[in-house]
Amino acid sequence: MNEEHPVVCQADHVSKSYRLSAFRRVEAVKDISLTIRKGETLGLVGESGSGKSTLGRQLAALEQPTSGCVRFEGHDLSDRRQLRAVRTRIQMVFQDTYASLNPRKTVFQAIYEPMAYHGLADRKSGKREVARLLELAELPESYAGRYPHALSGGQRQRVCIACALALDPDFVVWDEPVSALDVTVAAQILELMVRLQRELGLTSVMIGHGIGAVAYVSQRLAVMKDGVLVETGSREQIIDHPNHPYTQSLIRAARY
Amino acid sequence: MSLLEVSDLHLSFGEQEVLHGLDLNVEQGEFLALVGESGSGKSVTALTVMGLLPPNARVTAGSVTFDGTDLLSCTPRELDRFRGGQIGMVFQDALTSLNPVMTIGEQLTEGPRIHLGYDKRQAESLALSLLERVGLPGGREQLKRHPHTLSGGQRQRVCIAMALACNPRLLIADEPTTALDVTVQAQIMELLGSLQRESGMAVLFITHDIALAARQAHRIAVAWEGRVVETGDAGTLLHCPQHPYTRRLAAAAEKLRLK
Amino acid sequence: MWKYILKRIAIAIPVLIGITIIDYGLMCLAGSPLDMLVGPRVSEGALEARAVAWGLDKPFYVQYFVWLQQVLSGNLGYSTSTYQAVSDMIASHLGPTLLLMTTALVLSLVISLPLGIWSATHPYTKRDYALVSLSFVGTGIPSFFLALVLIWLFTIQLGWLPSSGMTTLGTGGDVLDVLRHMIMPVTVLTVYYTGVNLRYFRSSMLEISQQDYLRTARAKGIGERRVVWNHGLRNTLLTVITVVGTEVPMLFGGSVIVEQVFSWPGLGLMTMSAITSRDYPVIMGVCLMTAVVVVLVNLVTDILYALADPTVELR
Repeated sequence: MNEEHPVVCQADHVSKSYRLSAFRRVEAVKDISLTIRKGETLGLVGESGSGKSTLGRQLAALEQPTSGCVRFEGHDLSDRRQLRAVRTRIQMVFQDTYASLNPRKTVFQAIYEPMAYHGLADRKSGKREVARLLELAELPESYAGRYPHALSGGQRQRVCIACALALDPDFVVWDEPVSALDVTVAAQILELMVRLQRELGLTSVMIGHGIGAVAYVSQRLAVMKDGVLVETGSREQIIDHPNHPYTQSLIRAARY
Repeated sequence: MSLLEVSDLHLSFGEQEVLHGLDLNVEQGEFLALVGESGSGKSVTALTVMGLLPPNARVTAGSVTFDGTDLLSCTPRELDRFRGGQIGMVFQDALTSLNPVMTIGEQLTEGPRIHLGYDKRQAESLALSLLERVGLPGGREQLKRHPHTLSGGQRQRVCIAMALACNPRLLIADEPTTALDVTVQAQIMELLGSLQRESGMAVLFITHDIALAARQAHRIAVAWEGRVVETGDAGTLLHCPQHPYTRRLAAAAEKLRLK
Repeated sequence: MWKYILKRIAIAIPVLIGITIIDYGLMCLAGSPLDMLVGPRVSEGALEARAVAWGLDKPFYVQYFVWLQQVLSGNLGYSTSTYQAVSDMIASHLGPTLLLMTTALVLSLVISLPLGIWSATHPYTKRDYALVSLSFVGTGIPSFFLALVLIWLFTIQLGWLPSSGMTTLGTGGDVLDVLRHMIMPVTVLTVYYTGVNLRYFRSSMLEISQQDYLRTARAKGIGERRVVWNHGLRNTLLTVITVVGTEVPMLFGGSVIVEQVFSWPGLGLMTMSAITSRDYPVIMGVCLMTAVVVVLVNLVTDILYALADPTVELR
């Protein structure tokens, strides 16, 4: 059924390496190609150091690949002008909620300012828009005046989600959004993610190290190890019939 | 008599009360998991037992008894006889828990040299056998390594080895797996379980993941808002939780696992 | 390691040349030694002759190259006011300055390090507040004021200590004599350095005392003393290296004010008079020496860092 949907994000032979010193480079991502279609969520699973977050940043155009190409709805994201045209439609949510929010800005400011910058809201409509987004993220409107340090980890993540949704994106990369949260809170955020994807028709990439959490929100899964894509397939395929021994070990750990 | 008895513990940070009469018992040789969310008071309880609370914390009521001795009335010097020797502790973040400028050999041998009176050579042999026990085999060169050269899972194993160095009767592990990958979490849990069975020591395992805890724990105590709201056998509690909060914990944990 | 050292030395050479160019340029902007010679009894012709003799009639970049050439062949030139060789002047004045400053620095470290650590381990107590206040006083008190107070007390009122020079005139100048002359200037300098260092060490130790690994050390029951002195101190060492690293170059510059008030025959005094008389060769000699010292001390500090902190990698 998915083959009918148009391609939203296309990664072709993407590689990313970083320079450690004059003589040493580390290859975080090695020749990865992926296709993500409209309305689906791709789960990207791997351990620490597998390169999944790095790949996520390439897909969200926060960094440029060392070689290869990332396209969003046909636009080549390494081209400045093309990227600018679609910049607000690609957003990212991160793992460390404390570091993702400016400690000196209130929740309202954090959500409103990007919208004002891009002309999506002004002083008159701002309050209303922020309230709408807070409701979407299941936070009470009264939280708009709070500062990040007065919120719990789960509440901060909801604020980050509201920020990401503020620019009305079509494509969201979720980089380990629940890894730093308690199990009960993580479960709630995962439920929220499923709901949002359904209601807003989002296309997503969900990155995580626990295949259980990732599979909960994804229809397709891709397994990464040491910068390489080890196996891809639908959720059912990967979980019920994993081919690669590494995938099997991840599934065992998630069943523990 | 239980090995560790925490009875009606009330604890405040300044004006704010965080523990409202917490009761907890750990029997000799049992693996007890204390499960709860952030803010439930579970970590603070462990710190109270070890006397590692920050200066603005006050115990306003209750008692903490280890093997008959009231720990709350001990001076820090008296507590030092228990800490490291009879009670070992492992913390959540293994990287910041290890001194970055000291080798792991120095940090492993410190405890035995003080509590067991070992000399340098004896302590180093002990350190090597401990590292082997926790799954980090190797020769003397291992002892010269620094914490930042190890991976997250390896560092946590070193911390566990450090806590076991003087053969404690109770090991307190405060969310030791929370900062680790899921695959490594499983390995560390297995390690703790087998160490507990081998040595017969008691383990107080603190976590927010009730399903993970149930894999190795004999009993589970559920903490909520500064109190223990339910205790029971691990398997029964996980599959037939009584208290509504326990049910929420169990449901959430199952959601994050594959069926 | 050796590759790193060679690399640093290779980089240092253009840096030193750059520094000396800037120094020379600034110095020429400030004025020429001829300005100091002008007077009613000096004729134009005499001035011009002097200008040629000292090479001051040429443009400044030519002057600089001449100087550079001479330096590279080992000649730092001759002072325009005392006609002595600059290298001799520096050598003879360097000793007294180093003696004074090193003693003061070492003394201040011996006092401020234990006190700083002790203060940080008992923070916000009365004793801590007292020490911090004292350190503010130490840095805030103008050195000449303190020097004069001490002189008034110990030389004039009590007659215990000599107030000027390094040795008593007429005597050979044995060790005890020099020590007696040193007491007051060293005290003034130590008060300042201790004030500065105490606050650095206290805040470094305070930051370390929040770290998790100290909690782990306590959890091993090794005793509070070991926790502070074995675990905490080793990490404070990094701050000590940084702080001392910035203070060592000052050992060579000397304190002009203290040397002036106590007539101590050191480098500070010599440099000051060279500046006021626009004595180019001496000024450049001192600048070059200071630059070399700073570059060397930075290199040593970086190496010590790498030795003390295993997470630091030299590249």
